[in-house]
Amino acid sequence: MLRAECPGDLQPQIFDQGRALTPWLRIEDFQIVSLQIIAEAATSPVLQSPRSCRSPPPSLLTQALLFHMPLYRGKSIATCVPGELRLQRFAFSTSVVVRVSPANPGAEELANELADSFANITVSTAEEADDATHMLLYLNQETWSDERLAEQVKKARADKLKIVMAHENDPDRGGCEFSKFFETTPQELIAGGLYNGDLARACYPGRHHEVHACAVRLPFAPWSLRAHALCA
Amino acid sequence: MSLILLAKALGATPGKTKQDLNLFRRILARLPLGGNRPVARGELTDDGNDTAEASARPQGAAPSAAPPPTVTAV
Repeated sequence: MLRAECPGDLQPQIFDQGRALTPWLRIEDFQIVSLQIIAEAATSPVLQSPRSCRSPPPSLLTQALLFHMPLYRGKSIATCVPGELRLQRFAFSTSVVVRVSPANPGAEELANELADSFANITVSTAEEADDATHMLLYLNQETWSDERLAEQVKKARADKLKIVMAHENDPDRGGCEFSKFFETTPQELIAGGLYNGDLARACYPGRHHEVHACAVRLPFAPWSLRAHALCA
Repeated sequence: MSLILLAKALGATPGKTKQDLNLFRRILARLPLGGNRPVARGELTDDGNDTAEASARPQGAAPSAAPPPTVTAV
């Protein structure tokens, strides 16, 4: 779709050179990630061919030096922005039980990803009443194809269970425009205000999905660089 | 980032995790700030006593009141 919108004479330069495409998204937190990807891509050619840049900034020289160390050879070092969410180490102070419906394709996988990334999250697939604190509703093309889901969401709302919605935008995972859900969601739920409360959290693939600030898994996270040096 | 935003929606908050605290404890243990480090003369000890005064008085004697400050007219 992007290619079709691009003028024909620019298409080979943009799409056929093996360049990574970086999406620019509406939400600020995602924009920071996009800017980091752009900044890293902009510095990489300089580092790969230092002669093309007569006087690289000192920070690039430091990175270039790191790349010659065996640990970092052939890798890129991710940038980070002070204060960005990925550096803030989010955690749950109390246990959270997330209920996912088997009638909601993809919900359990996403909940398990959360449980793998954060402590104190338990995933429950029980359809009956349990000790769930939240219900995770995963929205993609296949959502609402199973009629049981609408009944379970109705019951969760009746039980005052907090529903957290995740809107998938990755086409490979059935992502679609949010407007599609106004066509596929049972009218009773729309009229009941399912989409009027908390906004659905957008899910994007790749770097925009990750919890950690590093594109490359370093042996320690950037925030702990100083601490690691002290403990070594 | 998507996962963080979802975690926030589920109630996660930024802060120090138990893992962080353990790391800080390990760092602190390696810094020459306390523990077995000898306390210098004139430095306050953990219980708030002045070591200069403590070392001057006989062992077991109660700490005396601090001397009044001296005011000098200029």
